[in-house]
Amino acid sequence: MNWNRLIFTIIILAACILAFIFYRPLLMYLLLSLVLAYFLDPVITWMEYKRVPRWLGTLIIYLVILGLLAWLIATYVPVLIREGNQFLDLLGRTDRPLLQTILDLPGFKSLHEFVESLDHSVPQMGLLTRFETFLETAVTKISEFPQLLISNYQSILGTLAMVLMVPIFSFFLLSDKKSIRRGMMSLVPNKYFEISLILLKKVDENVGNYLRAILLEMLAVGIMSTIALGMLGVPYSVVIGAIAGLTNIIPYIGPWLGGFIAVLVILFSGMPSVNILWACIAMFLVQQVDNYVVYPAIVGKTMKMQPLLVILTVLAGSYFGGVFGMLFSVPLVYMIFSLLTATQKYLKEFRII
Amino acid sequence: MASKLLLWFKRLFTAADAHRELLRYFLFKDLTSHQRALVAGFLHNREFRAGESVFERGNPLEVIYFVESGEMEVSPLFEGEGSTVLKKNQFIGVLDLFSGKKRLSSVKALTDLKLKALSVDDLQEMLARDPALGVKLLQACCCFLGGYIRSRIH
Repeated sequence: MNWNRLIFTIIILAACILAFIFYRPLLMYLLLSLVLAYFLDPVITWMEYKRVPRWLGTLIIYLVILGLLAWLIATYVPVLIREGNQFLDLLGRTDRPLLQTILDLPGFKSLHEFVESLDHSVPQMGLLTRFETFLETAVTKISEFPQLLISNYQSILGTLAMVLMVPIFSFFLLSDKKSIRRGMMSLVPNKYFEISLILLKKVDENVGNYLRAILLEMLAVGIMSTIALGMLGVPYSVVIGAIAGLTNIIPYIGPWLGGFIAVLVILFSGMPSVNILWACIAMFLVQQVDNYVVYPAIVGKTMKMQPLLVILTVLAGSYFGGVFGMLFSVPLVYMIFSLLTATQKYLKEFRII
Repeated sequence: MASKLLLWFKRLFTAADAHRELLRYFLFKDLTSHQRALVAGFLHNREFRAGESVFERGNPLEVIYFVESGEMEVSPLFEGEGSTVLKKNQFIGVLDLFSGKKRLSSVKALTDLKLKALSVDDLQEMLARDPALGVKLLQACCCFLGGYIRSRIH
């Protein structure tokens, strides 16, 4: 046995573990930066072949994204601030109970009347009492919202730091992609070099294709939701559509969140409550188109997993990592599974096992 | 001032040719500096000790190796032939590329060896993305194979 080699390997492993512990708080940033880098890489690689250096290509894409964000902020933020202020004014009114104010809104009023009529028909279920208790709890939570913002300022600052750090990390991942890849491969012993190249390529392709497919699906759901809600005259259909597209990446649970926000907006905006039904039908139709047309055509090609396994993986992901766990558990499990299958195949082909 | 800025901007795109050494390899002899820079981005540096196996016959073909320094021994392709020695500026893997992606021979380092490795997948990606680069590389491949066939006939 080569003792020097063994000791050196143990030192390297120990250094890796220490590095993991030291950089652990940054792992989530790195993961998100990788996701952003995967989204942008095809455009930057295309530009590279058109003689634009990677760093310059990344810079150009960042400027374009910043321009788009600035336009979105200039268009929507003043409206959101105005609406937010109105909402905070509503919360801050002291002349009458907040619950009463909310129940006076047309959407809630008609919903209340509907529940009241149901309660008269089936009095044993105590529907009205349950509905009012639910509303009171919700109102208490909503009135605590400004306090929640103040008491959680550290988390908010942390999120802001993440928003700033992720593009910076991504910039280096994108512009130095090839040297990072070369650096990683230089650590691999000669015996495993070729198989590692194959596996790295496989992971790169699988993860990249999956993430880009998810992005396309998000865009499709966002656009379809915006059009559907816009046709119904729901206010802020673009914002709700964007949220619906964004939350759609959480399998099985996410699609309901967009619909839930649309219902809330209808209730608060004073639209006739029959629109809730139409909005639910519209969002349901969007989901059906997504499930049976968009997903199989775009995402299904990149990943094949049993639906039951997907649900179990999402639940396990939420248990271990909350929302981020739900987002990344399915691609992570799929990636590990396909990596192990490919490793076994190539280890045999290279006659290593 | 403006001319200096213009010069600086121009230099960003026409940086000094840092990859001239690739011209030593027959496969890359006709590439422009931009194309060589693209290829160089995909090249990995590998070092082998004398006696170490580089790859075995029958292994899947994943990499084309270019000899930077040192010598390596290529086992005979056919029975009754002697082994071949590859030296600086020569390369191996192109012939295997056209034979079902399997290694046709085994290679062992005769001396301490420095190689540059180009993944076949990366090569194919370059061919697909840049047709002009693809044509030049395929032309070089054809010339190389033509030379190989001629040498076999003689």
